[in-house]
Amino acid sequence: MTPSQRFRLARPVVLVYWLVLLGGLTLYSAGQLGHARQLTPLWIGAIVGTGLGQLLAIHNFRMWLTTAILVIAMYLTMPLLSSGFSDFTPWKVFLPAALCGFWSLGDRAVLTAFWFPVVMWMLPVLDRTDGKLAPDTTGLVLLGALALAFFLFLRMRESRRVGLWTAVSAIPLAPAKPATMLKEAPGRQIARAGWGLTVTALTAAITAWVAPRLWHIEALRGDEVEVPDLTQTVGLPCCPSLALAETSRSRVKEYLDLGLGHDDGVLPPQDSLSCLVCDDPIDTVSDLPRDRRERGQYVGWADYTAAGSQGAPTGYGDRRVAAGTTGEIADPPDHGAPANTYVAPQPAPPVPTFDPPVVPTTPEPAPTEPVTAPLAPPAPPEPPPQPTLAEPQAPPPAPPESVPAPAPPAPRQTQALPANTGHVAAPNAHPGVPGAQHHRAASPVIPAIWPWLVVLVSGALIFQLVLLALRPLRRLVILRHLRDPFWAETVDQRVSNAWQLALIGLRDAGWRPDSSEAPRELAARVGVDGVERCAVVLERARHGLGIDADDLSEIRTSSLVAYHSARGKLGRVARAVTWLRWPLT
Amino acid sequence: MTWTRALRVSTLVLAPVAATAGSLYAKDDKLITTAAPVLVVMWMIMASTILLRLLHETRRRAAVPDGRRWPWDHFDVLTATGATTMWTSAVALTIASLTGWASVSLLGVLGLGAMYVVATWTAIIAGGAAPWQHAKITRTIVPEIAVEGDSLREEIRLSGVRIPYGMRLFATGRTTRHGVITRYAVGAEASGVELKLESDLGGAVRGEHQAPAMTLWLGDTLGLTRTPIVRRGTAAFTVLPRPGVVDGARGLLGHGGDDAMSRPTLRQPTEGSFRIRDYVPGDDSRRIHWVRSLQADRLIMRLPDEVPPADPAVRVVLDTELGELGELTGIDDLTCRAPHQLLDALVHVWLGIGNSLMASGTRVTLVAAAHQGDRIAAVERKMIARAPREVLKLGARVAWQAQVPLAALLARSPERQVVVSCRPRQLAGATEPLWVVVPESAWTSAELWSPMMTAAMLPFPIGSDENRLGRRRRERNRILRMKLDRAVFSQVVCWSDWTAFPGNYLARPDQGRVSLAVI
Repeated sequence: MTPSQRFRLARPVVLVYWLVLLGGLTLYSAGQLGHARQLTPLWIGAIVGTGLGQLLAIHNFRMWLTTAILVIAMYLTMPLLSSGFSDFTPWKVFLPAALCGFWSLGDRAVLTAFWFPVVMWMLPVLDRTDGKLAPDTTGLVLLGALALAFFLFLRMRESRRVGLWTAVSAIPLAPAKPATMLKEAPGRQIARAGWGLTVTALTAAITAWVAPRLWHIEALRGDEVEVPDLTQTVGLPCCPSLALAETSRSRVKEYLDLGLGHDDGVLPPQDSLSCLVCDDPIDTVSDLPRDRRERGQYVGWADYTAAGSQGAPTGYGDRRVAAGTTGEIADPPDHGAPANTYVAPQPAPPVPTFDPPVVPTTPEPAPTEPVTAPLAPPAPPEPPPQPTLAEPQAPPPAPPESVPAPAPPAPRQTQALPANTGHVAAPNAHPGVPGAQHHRAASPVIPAIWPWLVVLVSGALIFQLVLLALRPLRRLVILRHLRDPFWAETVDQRVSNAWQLALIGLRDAGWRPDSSEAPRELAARVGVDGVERCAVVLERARHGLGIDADDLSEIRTSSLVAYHSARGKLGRVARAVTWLRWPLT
Repeated sequence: MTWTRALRVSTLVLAPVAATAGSLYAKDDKLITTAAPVLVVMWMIMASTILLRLLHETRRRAAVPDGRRWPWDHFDVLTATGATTMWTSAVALTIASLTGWASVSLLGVLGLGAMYVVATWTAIIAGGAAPWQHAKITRTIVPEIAVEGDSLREEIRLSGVRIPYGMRLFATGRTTRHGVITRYAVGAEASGVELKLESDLGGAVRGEHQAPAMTLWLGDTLGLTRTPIVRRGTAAFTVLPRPGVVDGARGLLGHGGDDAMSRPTLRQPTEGSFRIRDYVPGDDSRRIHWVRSLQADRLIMRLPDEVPPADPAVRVVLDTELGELGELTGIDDLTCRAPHQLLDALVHVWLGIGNSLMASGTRVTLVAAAHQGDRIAAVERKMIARAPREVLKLGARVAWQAQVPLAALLARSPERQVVVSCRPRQLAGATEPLWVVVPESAWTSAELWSPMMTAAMLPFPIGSDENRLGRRRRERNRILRMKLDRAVFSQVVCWSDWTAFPGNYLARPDQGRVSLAVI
């Protein structure tokens, strides 16, 4: 088998595979347009990996050698990781992309090969699940498209396998010539197309119905919002300074920890101790003097201010220590957060108590009814950049008088994270990375593409329909010309026209002439009235024998007889369908 | 049932069970409570259709005494790709249960769902004998009577074969034992139509061939399932041998020259006037030399003195005996090509010698053991320049045989006898013939090409069935056995030391011709 034959057979499979892969990448990237920098590693890993895998496959490398090459490639490019080129994402994408690309041209690992494109498609699909187990309508459409692509890929792969089967063998193969259709059953093409659509739709429906039920929701640590810091230290804390509360976030689990999380709301505060009105609350640990920061102690009184309560999150793991607190600053036990966590010492006897407000768990703008009056007026209204998450504002500070203590808080969800989610949560928690974006931020982008896609598909469909509708007209004109030319033509041409007319009738009835078949042989094979006489006159014309007016008249009559008698064997529906047939012979 | 088939059949049950077990192990309630019922229902539909098809076939075959009562092949609906897809799906579902990755769960459901749908479709629509019920499969080898080396073409005409939507018709066959393989794949557009499939078979090989039936089956367009195979379309064709052009055949007649001695006859239409004698009562009065008689005053007779030279008669015998001691018994079972090549060479030389001697004015009788009806017997054919067909047909029928010994082919008459053989030997009780030895090493070629097998590269393009481990092992064993057979054959043939037959002849190929040299 020559290399050109090999490439020719592999081309459709490679094309479909790349279309599916790039489609998934594009759909995902469309929701992350604001973070092109973070998408680059994903694209590089996917494209380079798939290309390399298929290149090795097309050159018949064995699996072990391919794996070795991939591992070596990853090892040699590892210095890029330390040089800050990117995080581990390109390598995490590269290896499965290369392996799946290699298997895409393989024999039996078709399902495994399709996994990587599925991963790429699942990113935009899962972004549309609202953190639940059911994608929205667009997600379902994407799932259906993915199932369709899977069938297309299977079909292309099988076509390639059949091509190889007919061309490659350990025992020498006889070169086969193209099959010659001698007689076909009219009107089967429509039913044939229907089968493919039916099976695809059936499997797509089953997949869209069943697969989401298998998905697992994983809870992630979301962004942080500022809430009153009611952490008890030595004695009562200042009332209420600012602390960062985490929003709970969930999504469907996937191999690549990319994609959008879906915020459910702000987690409840860790405790519900009362607080002490301080004069000079300190917002952040960085505001503390160095020695106090190191010792983790700060004693002081300051005026309470609620400024900045609606600001953007200050960063992952950034904790604020309330003024007038003492204690030790320790590393956080979970998530590998870079900042320190304040560990409260034994509580002091409460003096003025403060009942923390109920933090809204949904992104509703209005906070729940506060139990106590705020210590200070809320910050001036500032239009939040993202209304869904910026709105869990810090509630108004509590009045100095004591209020009943609230119920104990629910355990933090982040403590229930499985061990492998430590890394999973990290990209999402970083501001600026794709995972840190919210679901709503991506929504307007993808729907903006749909109208254009719909217009394009509709336009193509209408164009095809117009072409289809014009076919009977074209046929009518041609038949009229073959019967009675619109302009003067030579005798030989008129003989040929008559023969073509007979052939159209025969083709309508399903008969096809063989390229190596003489006209009279065809006439003998089909056994249709008039064809034999047409063939006799045609052969005379071809051999240069004289054709007189009688011959011309005879072949015209015979061709009409052949045309009508051939079509007479068809049913009404089949006859009607033949008016849509193209080409005519 | 082979173990590979058993594995494929068991996949229908074991793969879903494995997926269920994996989910139970992972304690994945979602799979068990929500997805599993759907998949189980689909599996039950698939299994039911396959079982019903099996029962239907069992009943149908019970009515036909073909000796196969239990249609196992109707269980075997999965292709290798389909079986792998089912196992991969099961593994994917298990992984999905363990990790919860959405893509893997989707892949598992997609794979199993596709398998169930396609397998059900195949069992319902394409299973059983219905697709072949009205099929007419005609296979012809064109031309039906060819000459060795001519290009042959296989033509298959299909009509009435029902190829359901989503299925493909596959056909494969082999015309001769060591010939090329033909493979065809036709889509559903050929369903119920009249279709012509063609393949170039390459150069024809001598013999009267009966091509075995082709193997046909239907497979879905996704490559996941298939139907049981059927065998249709035998073909018969004859390839006549092409006589070789032999240089130096005249030397087989020796230097004595039968034409050097004239034989007087009493009554000949031609007569001369150099030899005369007196009249003897009874002489033909037409031969009276009247001028001489008048001169001599007595009757003088002319004697015929221009006798045409005698045509030497030669019997050219072809030795196809497997051996008196049975040393070549079982030669037909050898998998190598050498026995067939050597026999073709023997016929080639045999006919070439006959042709050359006939062209030089020798009366040639070709003798060989060949099939006559249902038995093998000695067959003699006189070579006639204007009608070589009968001799060529005899050459086409010749095969290795053990029924007729060489001695039975040799005549007791004093005619010259030339034996074309690959193994000259002493014949007890027979006139020692002149041997023309066709050495095996000179007329047979190396055995089949074996694909490059390296540890780094696949021997065939990736994605080809031929790369599968089982096939590669089978092919390697086939080639090994072929080479072993070839070694055995060469050893057996070379037992005869033809250098012990000095004065006889050796036939060697020489640029497309046959060169005879004295040993």
